[in-house]
Formats: sequence, C-alpha cells, structure tokens
Amino acid sequence: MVAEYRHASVVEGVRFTAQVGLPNVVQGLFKKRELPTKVAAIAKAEAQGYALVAGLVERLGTDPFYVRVATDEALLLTDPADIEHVLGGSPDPFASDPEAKRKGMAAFQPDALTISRGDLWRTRRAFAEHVLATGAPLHPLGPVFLDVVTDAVAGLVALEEVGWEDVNDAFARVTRRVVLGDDAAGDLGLTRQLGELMAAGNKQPGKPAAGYDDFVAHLRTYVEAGDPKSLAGLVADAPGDVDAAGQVIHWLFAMGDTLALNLFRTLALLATHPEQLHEARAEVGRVDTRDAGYVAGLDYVAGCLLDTMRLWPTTALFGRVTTRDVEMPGGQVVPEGTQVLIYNVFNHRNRDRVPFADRFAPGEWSGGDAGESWLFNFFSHGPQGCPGAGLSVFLGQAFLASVVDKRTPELVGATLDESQPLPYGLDAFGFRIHFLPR
Amino acid sequence: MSPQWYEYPSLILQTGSLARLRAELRDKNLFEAPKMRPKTDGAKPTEEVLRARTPDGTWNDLDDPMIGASGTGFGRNVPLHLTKPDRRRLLEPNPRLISERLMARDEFKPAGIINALAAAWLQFENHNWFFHGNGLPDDVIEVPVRDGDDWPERPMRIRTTQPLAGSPPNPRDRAPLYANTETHWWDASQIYGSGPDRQSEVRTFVDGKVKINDDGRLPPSMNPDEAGLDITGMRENWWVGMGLLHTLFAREHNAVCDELKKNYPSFDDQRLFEVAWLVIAALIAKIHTVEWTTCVLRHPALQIGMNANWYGALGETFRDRVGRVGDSEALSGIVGSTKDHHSAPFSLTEEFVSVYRMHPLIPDEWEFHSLESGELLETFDFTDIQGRSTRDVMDRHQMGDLWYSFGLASAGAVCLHNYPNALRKLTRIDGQVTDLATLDIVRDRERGVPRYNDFREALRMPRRKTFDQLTPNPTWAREIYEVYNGDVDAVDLQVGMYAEKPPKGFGFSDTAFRIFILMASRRLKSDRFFTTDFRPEVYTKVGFDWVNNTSMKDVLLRHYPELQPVIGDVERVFAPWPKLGSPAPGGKNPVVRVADTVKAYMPW
Ligand code: HEM
Ligand code: HEM
Repeated sequence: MVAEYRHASVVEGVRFTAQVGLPNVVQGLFKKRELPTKVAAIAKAEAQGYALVAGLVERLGTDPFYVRVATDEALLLTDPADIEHVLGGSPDPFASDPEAKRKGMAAFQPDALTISRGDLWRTRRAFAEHVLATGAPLHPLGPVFLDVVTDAVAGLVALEEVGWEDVNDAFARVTRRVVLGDDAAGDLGLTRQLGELMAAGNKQPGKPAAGYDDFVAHLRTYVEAGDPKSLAGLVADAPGDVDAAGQVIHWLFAMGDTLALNLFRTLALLATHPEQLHEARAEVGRVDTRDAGYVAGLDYVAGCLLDTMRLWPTTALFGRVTTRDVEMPGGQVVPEGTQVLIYNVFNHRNRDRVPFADRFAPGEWSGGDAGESWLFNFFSHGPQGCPGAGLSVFLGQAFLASVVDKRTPELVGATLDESQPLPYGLDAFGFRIHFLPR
Repeated sequence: MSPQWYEYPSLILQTGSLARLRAELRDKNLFEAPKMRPKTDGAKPTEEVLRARTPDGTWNDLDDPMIGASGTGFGRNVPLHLTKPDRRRLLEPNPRLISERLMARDEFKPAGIINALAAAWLQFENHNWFFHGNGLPDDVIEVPVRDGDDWPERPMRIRTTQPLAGSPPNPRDRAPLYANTETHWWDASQIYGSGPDRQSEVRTFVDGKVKINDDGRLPPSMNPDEAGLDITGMRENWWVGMGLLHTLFAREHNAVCDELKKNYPSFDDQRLFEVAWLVIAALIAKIHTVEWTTCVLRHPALQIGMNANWYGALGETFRDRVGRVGDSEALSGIVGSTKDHHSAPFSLTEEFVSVYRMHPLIPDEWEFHSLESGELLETFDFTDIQGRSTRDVMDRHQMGDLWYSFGLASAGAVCLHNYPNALRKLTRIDGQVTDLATLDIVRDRERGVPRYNDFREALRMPRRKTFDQLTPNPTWAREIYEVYNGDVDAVDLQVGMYAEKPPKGFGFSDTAFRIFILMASRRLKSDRFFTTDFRPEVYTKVGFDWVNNTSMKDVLLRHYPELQPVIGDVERVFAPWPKLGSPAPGGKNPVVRVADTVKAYMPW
C-alpha cells in the first residue's frame, strides 16, 4: 500500500493562496506593471511565501503535498526528483496549460507553443527549436546578435546612469532587431502594441484581446520580409507548417522584458559584489570579446546571469496540469485535471538543499553542478523547457561582457549587502545603475 | 591572598576575575631573552607576504617580520632569573623513580568528559605550535636506574635538548635559549609544514591542493626512516590519532580549494593554496577555541570566555556580521579587536610547552568497533597503533570505524598514576626506547622551568606549604612526600599539576590553566590573520564564510558522512559519543549509551 500524499490544512491553503498564489496574479503574470506600492509588498510576500512553504515542508515532508489554491487543491513539488518526473513528462501527461495561464495568454498569443498540446505542440516546438537553435553551443546568427547587443550597451553606458525603463527600451530595440530585423529597429509602436495586449492578458480574458489581429498583421510584414540577419530569416527553412507570427510573440516579450529584467538585476549584483565583478572581468579580459565563439564560452559571466535568475526567478511559480490519472515515482496516483505547482521562489533558495541559497554564486554554474539540478527552473526543464534559454544566455553574456569591459556598475537608490542573505525580491523600479569609468 | 577566580560566588564575578587575571598575566608574565630571534634589516613586505601566511612564519608581524618564525626562540612566562636550570638537582629526586612511583598507570582512569579524539586533538595542536627537535645524540643526560628496574639499558640515556643555534650553551644566570622548530603561529603548520621544503612536499601544485591519494588517505612516506608515517607537515610521534586528524584536515583543505576554485576561477594554484591555508588555519583555531576548550574546561565561565575569545578577538568585521556575542561588562576585558602583543613580542613559551605535556590523556588499551554493527573488531595496546605500525593499522580498518572508536573512547584523566605505560616504554621510529614520564620531568628541569611552587608563585598563585595542600588525595600526598623526601618546594611542575584537584568541570589543573588562559588569547591577539586581517578582503568572502559557518562536526560529516547516525545529534564531538548497539533485524542501530555519559574517575 502506498501512502497517499499529505494535505496541507485549510488555513494553510488560505495563506498559500494569499502569499503565493495571489502575488503572482497581482504582479501580473504576463506584464509586470509599475505599482511602486504593491511592488514593495510583493518582495515581502515572496519572503512570506518562502517561509510558508518552508514551514509546510517541515511539517509535511519533502514528498509532494496538496495545498488548496483558491478553490482547487494543487500538488506542490519541492523534491528535484519529483520535479524531474513532472517536467520530464511534459506536455503529456503533464500539460503546461493550466487554466489561468491559458486564459491569460489567449489575449495576446492564442497560438503559443507553451499552451499547446499534442501534435500541435510537437510541430510548433520543432519550429521554435530550429529557429532558436535550441541546444546549439552558439546560435548561427551569434556574431550578428553580438554586434546588436554591443551597440545597445554603447548607447546605455553613454547615458551614464540608467533605470529599468532605459534598459527595457534598449532591450526592446535589441529584440526587434534580433527577432525581426533591422527594419523593425525603430518600430516602437510594435512594442507598445505588445505591451497593451499583455496588460489585457493579466485579466485572463480567455480570448484574443482587441487589437490582436492588427498586431499579428503588423508582425507578419517583418516575418515575411525575412531579414537574413534576424530570426525571421530562419523561418523559411524551419520544419512543419507553422504560422510563424503567432509563435514570435512569445519571443518578443521573453527577450525584451524577461531577459532585460534579469540582466538589469545582474548589474545590481555585480555592482555590489566586488569579487564576482572581479572574476567576471578576469574572464572577459582573457578573450577577444569581438568573437562570438569566445563570448559564448564566458561561463562565469553566464553564471552571473543564471544565478541572478535563481535568486529572483522571473517565473516565480509555474505549473502543469495532469491530462489523465498519473502514477508518481513513489506509486501515488495523481488524478486527472490536478494542478501541479513548482514554486521557484522556494525551491531556488531551499536552504536544506542549496548551500549557496541566499548569496550570489555564479561559480556554482560555471564551476559547480547547479546547471544539472532540476531544482532550478527559471528556464524550466525537460521537453517543454525554454527553447530560448541558450540564446538568452548568449545575449546576456554579450551584454554583461560588454558592460564590465567598459564600465564599473554602481548601484544607486537601493542597497544589497553581500554579507547578509539577499532579499527575496529586487524591484526593478527601485534602483538605478550608474556607470563609472573603469 | 584574594579568592581564586572560581571561588567567586557568581558567574559574572568569575568572568570578571578571569579577565583581570588575564590582564595581569599579560602585564607580568611575558618575557624574552635577548637574541632569541634574528634582527631584521628593514626589508619592505612584498605583496605575497602581505596577503597570506608564509611557510616559515615570517612577516606575520609587518614591523618585526621574524616574530613567530620557525627556528626562533621560545619565550618565558616567568622572569628570566627564575629559569636558571638547576643542574645540581637535575636528577634529584630521580625522575625514573617519579615515573615508577607517581606516574605509572595502575589502572586506567577515564577523564569522562572528553574522548580519545580530544586527546589526539591536543597533540595535533601541540604539533601546530611547537617542537624542540630531536635532541643531541652525542650529548646525553644519564639517569641512574635502580637494581630490579626492568628498564632495558643502564643508565637510561636521554638526549639533551639542542639549544638555539649560536646562543651561548650554558649561560650562568638563566636557562639556555631553545628554538621552536615549528612556527609559533597558530597557522596549521602541522598540516602544511614549517618552512618551504616541507611545504613543497605536501603540495600538489595543482589547484592549490595538498596530496591525498585516490582512496582518500594521505600518501605514505617513502622515506625508510619514516616507515608507517604519512606525508604531512609534522610527522613526529606519529600514531593513528595523528593519521586520522591529518588526513581529515588535508581533505578539508582540498574541499576548500574546490569551493574557492568554483567561486574564483581566476585564482591560480598559489592563490588557491594560500587562501585555503588561511581558512584551514582559522578553522582549526576556531574549533580549538569554541569546541575543544569548552569541552575540556567545562566551567560556565569558560563557556563564555572562550566564545568571547574567538568571536571577540576577531574584531569588528566578525562582530558586525555575526552580531554581538555578549556585551556584559565582565567580558569587555576579554573581547578585543586589534592586534596586540601586550608586554612582549609574540612567541610561545617554555612554560606553555610544559603545561601541555598531558600524556596521561592517552589510554593504553584501544578497542576498535564497527560503525555498522557496533561489534568489537580488534583490541590493541597503544604500542601497536603508533610509530611504524600506524599505517598498517589504518589500512586494516575503515576510517569510519576508526573515527567512531576514537569518539567512543574516553581520554585518560590528567592525574597521577595514570601515565600510559605504553609511553613509559615507547619505541620511537628511530629505534630509541623512551620512558616519556621520566623524560617529561627531566625536560622541565633541563630547560629551567621552575618547580611547582616557584612556578605558582611566579603566577601569583599561593605556594603549597605542606604535602596535604598539594592534593586532597591523602595517599598521593604521602607518596609525593616520600619521593621528594619531605621537600615540598622540590616537587616538580608535572607532579604538582597532576596531583592538583582541578576546578569543577576542568580537564586539567588550575595551574596549567593560568598559562593556558594567557597564551590561548595571545595566539589569537598577536596574529595579524586573526585580528586586523581576519576579513573577507583577505580570506575572500567564500573563505571567510567557510571559517564562520563550519564546525568540527561539519568537517567530520563532510568527509565521513557514514558518521551521521552517531554524531548527527551530538552537540560536543570532543565528548564521548553515543554507543551503538547491535542492529535490530532490518533496522538501524539503536543507541545503547547516550553521548557524554562515560563515568569520570575522581581520585578525590
Ligand atoms: C531570461 C529570459 C527567459 C526566461 C527566464 C524564460 C523562461 C521560460 C520558462 C520558465 C518557460 C517554461 C514555461 C512553462 O512551462 O510554463 C519558457 C518557455 C518558453 N520560452 Fe523562455 N525564457 C526566457 C527567454 C526566452 C526567449 C528569449 C525565447 C525566444 C526567443 C523564449 C522562448 C520560449 C518558448 C517558445 C517557450 C515555450 C516552450 C514550450 O512550451 O515548449 N524564452 N521560458
Ligand atoms: C595527549 C596527547 C599528547 C600531548 C598533549 C603531548 C604533549 C607533548 C608535549 C607538550 C611535549 C613537549 C614537546 C617539546 O618539548 O617541544 C611532548 C613531547 C613528546 N611527546 Fe607527546 N603528547 C601527546 C601524545 C604523545 C604520543 C601519543 C606520543 C607517542 C606516540 C608522544 C611522544 C612524545 C615524545 C617522544 C616527545 C618528545 C620528548 C622529548 O624528547 O623531549 N606524545 N608531548
């Protein structure tokens, strides 16, 4: 007889909903909104979320357990072996389209890979992997993208001091050039349209928002032009019959917002961690950073970005939903339609499992085995893990290498004390980066 | 005379008294003879010596770089005129008689509060701090051996201690100068060796690491004169206890190197080595101060005092990071922060060496138990787990079993009639046969360490006027009287200390403790790397955290995780560990004795 998974209490469920479920909705699942008062509350909520789940794990153990989220019971995973089982089994029997996500995404990308199932998922996935060169050590357009990023950095450091919006704008431009080509470089309207649609997605309407068709038509002109120095240029050769414009939307926000936000936070860490800055620079100093091959080999610099994402995962909570009754490694059966949750905020900092939980530890990625752990899911893992991870890391390496090579970042408006456990949140609107000459 | 520190009625008064005691000792009990270290020529420190320890211990003090270096002389805790060796009475009373009549173990007297690991630890640390060298083979002291004594040679021959090179051999008004072959610093030189040659032998020169074989053991020495020994910094008086501890900390060193390399990929071999060395030295010093000492001296005032010693002496950085350690008025005298040599430049002292001759800590009979089943695997006499036999024994047994057995066994009580008989007839690897008890007495006399009463007076402790005052044990008092022909002032330091009733909870005498409390804090306070330079900028952030976050239990479990079931819940690893029983079928071993319940022998 296999003992069934345990259940958190009703009270714990209420608190979980309030402290883990709701903040992720409030914050905007899809478009982070500027809500200075709320943002502060969110950082606190994430600390509370950690404490809450840590308490649950202490009481209920490291096996998955059920916790009530609003009205449903969801299964929460904290053991990397269970996580591997679930993410390794996506999209079937663990589909990645829980209701909230599907309803929200429908507003701006109803055809998105991440909410697809079955054959549709498979063809769309193959398409994405081809264009994004998933798993390749270096994207074929790496050298081109390196120049695009270097340009952007030159513009940013010329400002001497930058806030989130400057970096976001610069990356929106990088994204338009990388994804759609140089003709789209100045197309601010396109980015604005996307932002509006995503904001609409926060309300989880379940159907395409007003303006979606115009937006796709707008996108399609670039995709069809197929600038060979952009991802759009790789679409023609991609396998399967896939409407590229519908797929590209995800790429735009993932690169322009998510990646940009993570890099901005990485600068805050480098600015406050002299040893890590020194190591990053030492690594950059050893190679010719005009060569994309070398840039892709900057492991420690990559570690700086990856560990930032571990500390402050942009995907705080994500999940799967069972497509049928599924047997877990321990023999327990999870009924069809159950939500399975992976709470990165807790797992990434789980002090029982992660010796470097609350400090900035890029070396764990470049010299340790953090990269092999299924505990860290800022890019997710498994068949449905982020196909753009490699490209993101490369763009990040190019960005960070270029910054630390030219300037010394200084944190303005906030403090991060390296001798204390790092906070659970770092609000992008709450700090600026000043570039000092080296 | 005012009350002794432990006679004060409250903890606060006791800690206060200790703090005053130490301050007074610092003022009045630090001396050094001229020429005990070479003058330096005003050389400027290089980048290398500023950032890390040096193999020979030079440049720890940037103003006088020879302070604490290996090969420099021992200082003194008593005024130099009191160190005049008593050549006339060098053999009075006969030290072999003392060994036989007062020292020889009749039955094993367990210390109870500390285990065999704690005993080994102290010798490990002694090797960190000092050694007088192997003596002059051609200049011997001849100890008469009585008829009927089964000692193999007549007379017993003891090499004289080699004086400091270039010092006058027999000054008339004070003792000759002797050199410390090790660095005086608390720098883990037992692991890394004192001096560049020894240090090169233990290093791999790859990734900062020291030599460890694939099987996790130190490599064996290939030198035929060192058969049975491991390649490590200090190889004297080798036995299984040393083998365990040296292996453990060599492995810990390499673990630190891995962690440093991961976090600081720009570091080369030398940088990795020197930072890991800083970390290991500090870790050992911390374990000694806050874990070993508080276990051996289980008096509440010491629990506070020793923590303050470590956490206080380390200065601002540490206190800011870890928080206040205690802010009572009583502690403010102990807690310091900047480097300070007090009334003399730093060196270890002859008296410090003397009070640590705690050979009764070593049991004669050793039982090796299985960690898996709890069963008794083999019993040994100490003779067979030391010297040339050491490696064989360690090859035959699992490291986990050895650790477990050391944790389980009680150390011997430091008292009369408890001197290990194996050490009273010790065959050393060079073939010399030594009665260490005889030798301990001879050494103190030879080196001009005052006898017990003079020693106490120099430390402002009351002299003992009668034999009954020496010890509450009347039999012992009578025996000492007989051996010393009624001359209480002739009683040797070792005998007096072993006869004393220690303060409550203490593993050794209050007399030894006076030297201890002075020198323990001095080893920290004088060392740049424990004071001004104990900071992340010097240790690296990762190294600094490693020191602060690691305990002896962590070190043991990192390298021997199989010990988890035994010490997982143990608070003090230097106290006897719980004993495992035979496993229930299919279940894990039940604990049949809880940690720390070994009965202590109380001779009074
Ligand atoms: C630092 C930036 C990024 C982060 C943190 C990130 C994170 C993630 C995560 C966590 C998922 C899994 C979501 C889930 O299963 O619910 C995912 C999926 C995905 N990501 Fe990314 N991503 C990033 C950048 C990118 C970029 C630049 C692209 C494209 C250019 C991209 C394309 C995708 C796609 C298409 C999926 C869906 C995969 C599937 O469902 O099979 N991502 N990403
Ligand atoms: C509890 C553990 C031990 C302690 C605390 C201890 C302490 C000491 C001290 C303080 C000295 C004086 C060193 C000097 O003159 O520089 C010494 C000398 C010596 N010890 Fe130990 N020891 C311990 C265990 C052992 C063991 C296990 C052995 C034998 C395997 C041993 C053999 C010697 C020898 C041969 C000397 C040198 C005597 C001489 O020639 O002056 N000791 N010990």
